[in-house]
Amino acid sequence: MDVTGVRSNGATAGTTSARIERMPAAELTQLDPGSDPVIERYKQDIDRTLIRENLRKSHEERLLTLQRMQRFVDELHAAGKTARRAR
Amino acid sequence: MIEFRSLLESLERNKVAFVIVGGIAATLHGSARLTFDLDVVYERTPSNLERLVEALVPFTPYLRGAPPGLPFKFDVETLKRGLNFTLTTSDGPVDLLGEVSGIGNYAAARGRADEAQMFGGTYYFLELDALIISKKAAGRPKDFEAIAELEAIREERERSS
Repeated sequence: MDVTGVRSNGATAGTTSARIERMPAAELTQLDPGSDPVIERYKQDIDRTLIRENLRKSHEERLLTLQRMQRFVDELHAAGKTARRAR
Repeated sequence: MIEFRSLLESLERNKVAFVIVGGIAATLHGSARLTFDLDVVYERTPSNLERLVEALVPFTPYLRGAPPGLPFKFDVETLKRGLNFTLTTSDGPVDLLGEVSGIGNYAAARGRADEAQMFGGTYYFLELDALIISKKAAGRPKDFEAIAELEAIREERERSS
């Protein structure tokens, strides 16, 4: 990909024109949302049903859901610790 | 214990100028990934540092990972001497960042922030494209999956709009 193409991809990634002009091409390549085969591979394993469910929630609901999950993990950690002590 | 709500409400109540970044910003965009710390980029003006101290002192902030008993005082002078602080508090881990990778300082982050109305207040969090840029700029392999999910969120949004 030439520098012009990379700059256009930088713009697609939401970078401002002024920043794009100042950036070296190597850095801009990293901003290309579709150019990284590693990220593309990771993307195949993303559960999009969870994302769609979250996108239906309000910002507040999303944070409260996270907080509930964190509490659940805390409880699991505590239960694990208790079980190890009992052995 | 993790109580991001109380931390955020205290920051908002004390009128601290900050932008939510990192995993909590990803959650606000719809991420399903679990995160355990609150990352914020804060404005480094003297008055904002005072407000930041006022907001967080009730949560007894201390350097995360440091041995107990160090003479650490969370005050304006301490904040002036540093830029980024990884803290533990009574309500969960908090990272205070003077700058965000790939984006810059508070003003730059605020210019690229979305707004959320929640818990009776207005909060700013890094917009999706800027969050992706910041994760990419950080260049950490542990962020690959998070970047992939954020890009998937962007695709889902585009698909539904």
